[in-house]
Amino acid sequence: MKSEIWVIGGGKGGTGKSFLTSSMGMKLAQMGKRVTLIDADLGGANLHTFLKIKKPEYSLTDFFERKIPLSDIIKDTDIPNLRFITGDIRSLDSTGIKYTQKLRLYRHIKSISADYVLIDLGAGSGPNTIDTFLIADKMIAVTMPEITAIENLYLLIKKVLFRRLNRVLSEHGLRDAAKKAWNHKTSKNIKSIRDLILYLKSLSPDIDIVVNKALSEFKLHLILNQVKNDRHIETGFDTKSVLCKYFGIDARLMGYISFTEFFWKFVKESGAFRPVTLTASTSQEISSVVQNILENKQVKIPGLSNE
Amino acid sequence: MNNEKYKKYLETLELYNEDDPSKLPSLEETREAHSRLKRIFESDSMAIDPLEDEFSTADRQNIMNQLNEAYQALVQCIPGTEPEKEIPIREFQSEVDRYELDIMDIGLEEERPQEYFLSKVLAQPEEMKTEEEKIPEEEKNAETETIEIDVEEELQPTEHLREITHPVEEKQEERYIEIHLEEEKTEEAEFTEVPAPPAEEIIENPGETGDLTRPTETLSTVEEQEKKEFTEIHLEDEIPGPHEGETLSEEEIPLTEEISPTGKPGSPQEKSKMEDTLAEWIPGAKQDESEEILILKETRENLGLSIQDAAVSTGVKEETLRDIEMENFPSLPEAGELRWCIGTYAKALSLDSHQITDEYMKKYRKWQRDRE
Repeated sequence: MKSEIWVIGGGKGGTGKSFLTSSMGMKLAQMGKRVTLIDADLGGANLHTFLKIKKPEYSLTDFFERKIPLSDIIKDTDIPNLRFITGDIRSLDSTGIKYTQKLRLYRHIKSISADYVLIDLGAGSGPNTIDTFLIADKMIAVTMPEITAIENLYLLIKKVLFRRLNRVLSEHGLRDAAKKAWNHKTSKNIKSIRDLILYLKSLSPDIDIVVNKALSEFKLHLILNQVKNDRHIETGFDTKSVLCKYFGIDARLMGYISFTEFFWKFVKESGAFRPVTLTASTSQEISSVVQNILENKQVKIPGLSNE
Repeated sequence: MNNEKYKKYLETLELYNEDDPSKLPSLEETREAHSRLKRIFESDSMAIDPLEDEFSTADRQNIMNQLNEAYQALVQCIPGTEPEKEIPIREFQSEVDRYELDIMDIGLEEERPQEYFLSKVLAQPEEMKTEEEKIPEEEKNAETETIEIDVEEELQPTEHLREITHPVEEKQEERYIEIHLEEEKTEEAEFTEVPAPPAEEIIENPGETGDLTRPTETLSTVEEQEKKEFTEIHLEDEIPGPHEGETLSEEEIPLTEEISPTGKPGSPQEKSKMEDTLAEWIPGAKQDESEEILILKETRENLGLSIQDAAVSTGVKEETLRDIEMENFPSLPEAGELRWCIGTYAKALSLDSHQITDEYMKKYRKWQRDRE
């Protein structure tokens, strides 16, 4: 059976991508699902820190350089059902990975025998990050209520969306339509991805349909981390709404994780696989995020009655 | 309205229920969703700040128009509500109005929804009554008929407002205002309890509505409990309110906030009447629009708080609070931080923090633009 790929990105570093990837992976494993975590932060892999294991002997470097099959570098962890691939690239410039190598990696990822494959992306929004984001069955973005984090999130989404649009239009015989329009942005008065979308939609009713479909199928699962107060939660909902309205994508807020002081102290001191059990409430919050992602449900805005 | 269009509107306001597409949002949910989204796109939520450079005013307006269109269309579809032209108009005007609203209006912001509800609820029994009254008409007797007339009278809420605007005697006036507020609270409570009631539901549970009015019963001297179900509004009005004789102090206004924390639109006419009325009663309430009002400072002083008190309770530095109060724009922190400070401060003063921040930030942006 084909595994479901969750890719966890978010643009800014330090928003909690690795923490959430490891925690969500553990939750899924505890639920009896077979899970493989991949640390695709090719520059600064640190997922193993959260998993409290030593860097595995083999990493993606071996996959790229020595052509070792991906299945051979998957390492078991102490948690049943949870396996792990580290992305540490020692000698290879992470941007230097060839396109064909990348495709080979994606092919291997898709053939991993597991129920869920969770990929932890690095910070930033480089081409590798964007391409990896696009192989997801579920795109998950971790952000926090800080203007820089939100800004980087938008930047990531802009790039991913641009790439997706370009790809979808190419599939419909409009090779690089988005790219071409963007290259002539000054003459077409296109200043933003939104302008670009509106421009493409105005080209013809057919393109309009294609673009609309691409946008509505662009599902983004948003997780808001390091929430300290209600106002932060509100910012999470605002961000979701801006993503929906401004970019036109289908963004959903899957949950929020409260800020924990002394988080790193916990990580440092706790035994293996402890981060997730930092506090009962954090653990609870992560459970509900996982549940929401599995059931494709989003958090309701507090104050709006639900049932 | 066709289903696709309806779905689109629901999606626009983020109210579409995927699990149960037939489930409709209540009027209140619709309004809240609309005002929440409007707030994001009309002001500068942290979520919109990073897009400031590339998000043109015209484009923003586009989104706002879509929101307003969806809202207008949905409000008319929600069962149990009658399309009311005044409301959307008020919505559109509010952008312009808001900026110029005087100090009292902020207090009145809490009144608006209630007035709105009042007019809604009062309009609603018109159709419901026909069914509702049938039962008592048969079961009861002439007694109900007199009640019906009373309810009918109540159907014109402006009657009261007119009375208030042309007061005969001090005490009586105060009482009217008291009663008016009191009565609206009941309406609000009733509405939140039964969101967007389809007509049948209300008829099925008339007792429920009756229960909600019970707390006020102790204050009244009504002999026949049964009547209440049909005449609660009227009776509430006839019997002197609990605070009779007391003057309507400014503290009364934040009080209503607890009951309805969300700002909702009301019909412009009613609102302005209400404003006039209260303006007569609260000195300095209605001021010249051209005159700048330092609402935060005034509210704080009226509450008898020092700037030090405010600093302690908000955790914002004294100087910052002082600069905020005096609208000393050049010394203020950067927008994100400023917004937060104002919001916290307004909340601490029991003011509507959304509205205060929005208005303040508008002024601030204007100042920024002028400076450039």
